[in-house]
Amino acid sequence: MRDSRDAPDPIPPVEPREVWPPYAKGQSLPGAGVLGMWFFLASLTMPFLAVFVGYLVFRATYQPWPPAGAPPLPALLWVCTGLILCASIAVHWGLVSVRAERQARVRAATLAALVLGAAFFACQCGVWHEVWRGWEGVLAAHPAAAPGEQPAVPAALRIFVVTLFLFTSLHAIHVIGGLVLQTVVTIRAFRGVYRYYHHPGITYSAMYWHFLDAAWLLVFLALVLGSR
Amino acid sequence: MSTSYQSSAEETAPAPENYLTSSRGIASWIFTLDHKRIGILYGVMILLSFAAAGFIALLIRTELLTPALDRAPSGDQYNAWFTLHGAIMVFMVIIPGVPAALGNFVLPLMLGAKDVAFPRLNLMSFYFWLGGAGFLLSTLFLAGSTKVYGVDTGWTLYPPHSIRTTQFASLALTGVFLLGFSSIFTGLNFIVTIQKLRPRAMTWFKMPLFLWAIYSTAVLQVMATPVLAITLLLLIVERTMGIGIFNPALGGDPVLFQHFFWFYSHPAVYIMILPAMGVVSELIAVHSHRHIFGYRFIAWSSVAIAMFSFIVWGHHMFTSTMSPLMNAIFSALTFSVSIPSAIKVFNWLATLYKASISITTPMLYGLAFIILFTIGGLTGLHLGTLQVDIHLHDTYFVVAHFHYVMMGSALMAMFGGLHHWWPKITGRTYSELLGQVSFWLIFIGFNTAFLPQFVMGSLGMPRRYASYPADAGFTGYHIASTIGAYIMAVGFVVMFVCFVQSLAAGRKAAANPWGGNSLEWHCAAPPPHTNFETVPEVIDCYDFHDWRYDAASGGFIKKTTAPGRVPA
Ligand SMILES: [Cu+2]
Repeated sequence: MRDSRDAPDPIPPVEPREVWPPYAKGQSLPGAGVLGMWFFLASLTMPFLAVFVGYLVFRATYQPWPPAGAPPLPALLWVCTGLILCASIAVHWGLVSVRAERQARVRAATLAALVLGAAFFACQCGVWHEVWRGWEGVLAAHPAAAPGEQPAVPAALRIFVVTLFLFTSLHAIHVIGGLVLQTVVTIRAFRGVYRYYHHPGITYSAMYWHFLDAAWLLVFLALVLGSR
Repeated sequence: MSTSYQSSAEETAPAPENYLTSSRGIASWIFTLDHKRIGILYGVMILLSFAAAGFIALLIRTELLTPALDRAPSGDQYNAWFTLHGAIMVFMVIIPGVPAALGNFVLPLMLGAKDVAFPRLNLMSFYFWLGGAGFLLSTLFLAGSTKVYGVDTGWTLYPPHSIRTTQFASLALTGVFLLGFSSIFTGLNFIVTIQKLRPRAMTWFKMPLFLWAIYSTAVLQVMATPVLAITLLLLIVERTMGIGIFNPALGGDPVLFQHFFWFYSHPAVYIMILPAMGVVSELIAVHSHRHIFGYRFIAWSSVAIAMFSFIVWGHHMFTSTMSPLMNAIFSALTFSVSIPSAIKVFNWLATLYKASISITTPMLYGLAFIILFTIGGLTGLHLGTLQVDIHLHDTYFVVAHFHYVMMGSALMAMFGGLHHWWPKITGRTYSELLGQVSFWLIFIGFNTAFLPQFVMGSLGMPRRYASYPADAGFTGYHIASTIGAYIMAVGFVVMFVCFVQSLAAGRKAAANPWGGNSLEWHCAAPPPHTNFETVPEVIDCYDFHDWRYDAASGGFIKKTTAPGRVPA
């Protein structure tokens, strides 16, 4: 049954406005979710743009950039980029598969996206670890003038590390949301809930992971190109 | 067409079910998915918040009655008062006032829809509002090390003070953060509702102008509010971890905060005023019984205002060390916003010209809006002018200006809309006498309170001061201002009495008491749980010719055979 392509269409051909509101369980307004998702993602883009602008401001304020004595960019950033690109491909594969009603592939794709997303997050934690080690190095290089005082870290160095940390953290917050979403979608995919004619969860999670991918590229390129 | 529904014989029973009686019990309200009940929940909470913030305003005005700092417990406490007055009014009252309360109730009705597109998200938005309100108001009851109750940062939360203050600013920041999410989700919901739930025949240019305004507002809510959210988040991180994004002592940039803050908060001005303008378009057309003049101009001007509002935020920062070139650019851009605003005013005036105007309470609020918004808007030009603003910055001129826009315009329209749709919401008529008495008290009180502030502001009285020199010539203006504030307070008490009287003893309202023709007036009062049984016929919502006054029911009824029209 799961791989049959001739399942009856369960959505009755009625004017959606006639049956709204959807107090009956499982009913949804065709097209509304995707449109809402588009605006939601547009909304989520704005904080990234704001932080990006803030990054440019600091980069212009503190010359040279990166400041002298700055820790190198964590090498794991490149690994992260690869992982999230793969996650993006995986959700797309899931979407293509569910449209073709290939349920085994849907299960594989959603699970793969979840694993890749989790791996990205783990990699992200590694990035923070490297950033923290770099910060400790900065602190060691600029000891406090007298015991009990703040370490004499130059403002430029402090801001460099802070922007690196904040930029990646902002993205990580959104990744946590994506992992929760993807977990639900994966469980539901294994239950065979998604059919070729009705798969909102797969659609939304695909849109969201593509967004995370694009947002990461903004963060990644800003950090890499900005630190040259 | 309506095969999924029973015949309408049940609906003609003597006491038809409505949204208030369709289910009972407290759970049917706190878990309701009905947009009308959610609108009521918002409305009640917003009016309570308005009362609280209004009470704080009276405390402020009482302190300013005399030059000395003698009535507030301390200057710091005075700072907390005006902060909470501003923050509650802006984030909890005016921003959600028209869209979330009135809009929630009216928007699906105007569309002939049964509900908003995402009813669960709608309820969630309300609880976000409630949570945010809880956080923000909790600071009222917490005293910091200086024995001051409330947050003392000003509603603008400028660092470095907002980083350094020992008051519970992080709680307030969290509160505003949550209120922001409420606003985003409401906007998202309304965008999708308007795009997806319009009846087929209702094209964009057949929508009531209120919906154009709500749609433009919703785009602002969705696109601008996240910038506030990230700014507040950064400020919270800054306060808890001391990492120095905005703190100049740690290499941060406090002006960057101002850019972020005003990138949201200037559009927020239009999040507050655009829905109000939408309400006024309805009030003016319906109560002058005349087709709205320049429909497309009013509709497009809403969109234009929304777009312009993203590029003028710098006019709040003329004294914040921006370059002279940037100052000049922002000053010039600011004037562009006045064009669509003026287009609206002229079209309303043209609608009124030679119309048979009914002087009802909602209409009085609508007319007051035009007058007060014009004053508020024109004084905005003074402030947008670079050289003048350097002089007027942080004076009472600014206070008067934005109160004319926020209170005189946005809230006047909100109360106008509340009276306008009150019979539809409650199914009861209110006393026109009490309504008009309260209007005149509020209108006179408002102008008594705020017109003198223009004068003392241009004479140099700075804002946010708890005391002022007795010999500087400000005392008389402050006394007038305080008297005005108390007159307004009396007006709001009369309004409260009017509404209570209506709920307790009001006559049953007609379905169409004013002769409007947008779809909400085609619905019973109060509307049934599912609003419309079938998608209603879409008509020109500003063509009032098909209705005639019926003295028996106290409202307008359809002319049975309109001349030159074939019944559908
Ligand atoms: Cu502004």
